[in-house]
Amino acid sequence: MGFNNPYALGLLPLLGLIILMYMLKQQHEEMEISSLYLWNKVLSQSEVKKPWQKLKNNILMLMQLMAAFLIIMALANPFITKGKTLGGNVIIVIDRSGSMNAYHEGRTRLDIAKAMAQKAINESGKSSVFTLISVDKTAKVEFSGVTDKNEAIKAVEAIEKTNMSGSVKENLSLIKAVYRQFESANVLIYTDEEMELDDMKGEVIALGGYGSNVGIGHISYSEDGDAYTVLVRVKSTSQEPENRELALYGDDKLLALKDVKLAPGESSSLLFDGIRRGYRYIWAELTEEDALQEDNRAYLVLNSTEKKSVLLFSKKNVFVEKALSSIEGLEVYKTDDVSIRPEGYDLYIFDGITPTSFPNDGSLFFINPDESNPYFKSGKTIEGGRADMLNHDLNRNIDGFSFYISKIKNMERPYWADALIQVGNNTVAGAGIYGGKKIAYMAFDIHDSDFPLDASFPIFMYNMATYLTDMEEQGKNFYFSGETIPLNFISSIQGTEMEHPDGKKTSISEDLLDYGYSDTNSIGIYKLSYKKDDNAGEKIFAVNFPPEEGNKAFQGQWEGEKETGNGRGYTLMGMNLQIPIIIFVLLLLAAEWMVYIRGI
Amino acid sequence: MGNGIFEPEFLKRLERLSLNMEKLTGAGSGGLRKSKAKGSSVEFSDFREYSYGDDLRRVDWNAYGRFEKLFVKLFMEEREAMVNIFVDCSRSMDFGTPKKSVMGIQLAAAVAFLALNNMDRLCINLLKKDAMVSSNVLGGKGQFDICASFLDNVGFEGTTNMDKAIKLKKFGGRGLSLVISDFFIQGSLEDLMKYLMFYKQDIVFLHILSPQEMNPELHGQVRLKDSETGEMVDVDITPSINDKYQKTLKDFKASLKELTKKYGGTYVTISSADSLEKILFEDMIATQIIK
Repeated sequence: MGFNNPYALGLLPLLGLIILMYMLKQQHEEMEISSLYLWNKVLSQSEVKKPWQKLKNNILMLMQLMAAFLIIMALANPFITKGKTLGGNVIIVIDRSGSMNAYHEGRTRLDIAKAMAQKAINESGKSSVFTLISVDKTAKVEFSGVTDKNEAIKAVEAIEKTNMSGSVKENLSLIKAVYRQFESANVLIYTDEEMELDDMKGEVIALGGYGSNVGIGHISYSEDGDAYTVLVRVKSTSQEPENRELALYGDDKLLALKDVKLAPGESSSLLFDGIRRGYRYIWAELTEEDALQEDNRAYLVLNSTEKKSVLLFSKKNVFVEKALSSIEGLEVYKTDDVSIRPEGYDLYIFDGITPTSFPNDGSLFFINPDESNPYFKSGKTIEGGRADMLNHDLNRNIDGFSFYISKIKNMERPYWADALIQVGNNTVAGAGIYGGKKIAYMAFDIHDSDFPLDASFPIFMYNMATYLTDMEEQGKNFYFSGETIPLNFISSIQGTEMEHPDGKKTSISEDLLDYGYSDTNSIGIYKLSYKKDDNAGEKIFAVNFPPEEGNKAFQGQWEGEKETGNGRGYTLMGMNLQIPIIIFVLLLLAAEWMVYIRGI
Repeated sequence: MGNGIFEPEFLKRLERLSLNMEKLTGAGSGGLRKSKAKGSSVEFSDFREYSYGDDLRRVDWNAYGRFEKLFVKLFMEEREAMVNIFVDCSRSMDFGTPKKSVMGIQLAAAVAFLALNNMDRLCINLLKKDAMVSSNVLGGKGQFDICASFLDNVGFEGTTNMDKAIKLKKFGGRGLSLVISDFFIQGSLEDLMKYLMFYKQDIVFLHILSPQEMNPELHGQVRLKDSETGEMVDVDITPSINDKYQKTLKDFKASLKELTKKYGGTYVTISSADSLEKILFEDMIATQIIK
């Protein structure tokens, strides 16, 4: 039994007032009469006939006490529980993280959780109000305050599986916040995670338990001359020894097969060497079906092996050399001979040197140009000042940074160039395309500034190099389901479209590229197609099942057959008692009136 | 209380009445009073002053000659009838609006007047606690003043043990015993009745109740205090209790009536709110106590 308005119970001390009033009322009005002769006969007769007559006053008082008590109870709006019947505010929490995809006797834990939740909804009382929360990497309130059972059941059915890593425990604060919205509520949490409800009323339906499962915990590769060596680590979460066959694929071609024996809880690393180059991605698969299928495959994108070549004309600039050499995928060559006619490089950098003739191919990067060239005019040296990094795509991750320059070249910004760095009104760095060539410049000597000491310098150099050489950002070899894939690795791409492993295609607006791509629930290879400078481009990403979901999936208890509300006898609202109590109070008052008037 | 309590007109009406001794003594009892008109053939007993309505033939002309006043001769034979009036002087009688005591005294005076007026011998007995205060034996109309002054000084106190008190009375012979009381007394009246019967007394019970006793207008919870004993009782007045009271009162009156009837007596219930005229000229004539 519980109360919807327990504050009304604070009126209970008023019952004492009734008793007090009776005590005061017991002061009979004293009257002198001639003789008690007749009255004694009347009273003795009454007492003889009805022994309880003496109690009559008390009966009236007891009836009034009971009536007052019941009125207070009615105000408190009590309810009684009706066994297994669910009622009141019911918060249903369904864990749909990756581990809930584990199978139990032919059905996934998520399917069982959904069926149990639907059964609970179906068997609940008429007055029930439902709130549904699904938990994957975050908790999401699917609906709140729904009284229509069919609607609630449909919404539970619509909860889809995910491969994400997630924890109900970590999202308990949100569940508690929802719980506290109600005066009283019951929480039903369906999860395979071992957890407690803390101070919330309700129960956790544990859907963990053991199963036969081996999963791929890690996949990586290393370059070994002209070949790759691929490492795959597998881990058993079974209680029994397991034998498995691991297949390795290059793109869609089977490359190798290996058998592995695992003791309970054991993990083993398998090496596949001599994998020749030429594949865009590698993937490994445990061929045997087990309790959790999703962790049986893992993908790996191989980095592009193409290197960009850079020719640096410089007398000596250790800062620039260091910055360039740290960029992976770049081959830097250096010379101070201005008379050569270079050819075949992706980028030419002129640091304080102007060549006698300019190359026909590749991009150009001028640092502190000492004289004018066909692309812009150099100017006199003037006093510098604070240099600000402007908001520009080529200044990504460093816009807003600033450093100081003592001397700058007072040169006019060419019309084709975008301003990147400014000192006052002077543009000291810019970039753009002129005559089909990508050209960038810096109108100051790096040695005359504290730029190299600033964290923005290597990033600026990286941005320049990738822009001028069209070098792609390599990115991670794989992501986990639910993780966001960053898409700002290449600038100025258009017509972007992501193809999911299941073939689904999603267009991505240019404005949203900076936010990355977060619809990564499916496991496998994602293909991003785009257009850049009228050329079609494509980049692939691998998304794998988070191994911690596999590791924690086979722990804890299994309560899939649990009868909700019966297991631990926790209370669930059933019938509201307010109306019956009010009716009883009215009957009681009528009876009291009869007792008083009739004097029975 | 003085003689003045009775209006002259009322007295005139009273004078036409007398105690109905035939009825009271019963038919064939051979009572001593054979005639209302006082006889002339028996032993002379006394004189009394002539009053209007007396038989002129019985005027003692010799006495008239000596005293120049008209006297009527009374004879011993006619004064054999002895009227005893017993008035309950307990405190309970001093209650009610109007008070039962007032009505009791008035009734006693009226009956005394009737008795004296009709040449009966009269004794008024005031019952107080276990004892009795008795007047002298009065006879003759002229002694009504004595009777009135005796009744004038009555106080109503304590409880009355009627049985014990009346038994102190030594009856000289046959007569009429008229008891005026509310009969709220302890103990049985049976013994008393037997005692009175033994002394050949004709018994009349004048049962006086106040309107408040006949219809108590009480409400709610009251603590009733007995005026005589000081005893207190808490009563929750309900319609049911009121019904029971009425039934008890009715039973009480019926038992008294039954008791008096059993011993050949007469019982009359009188409300202290009733007028004396109504009681005398209606109730008591109706029950043939007086005629």
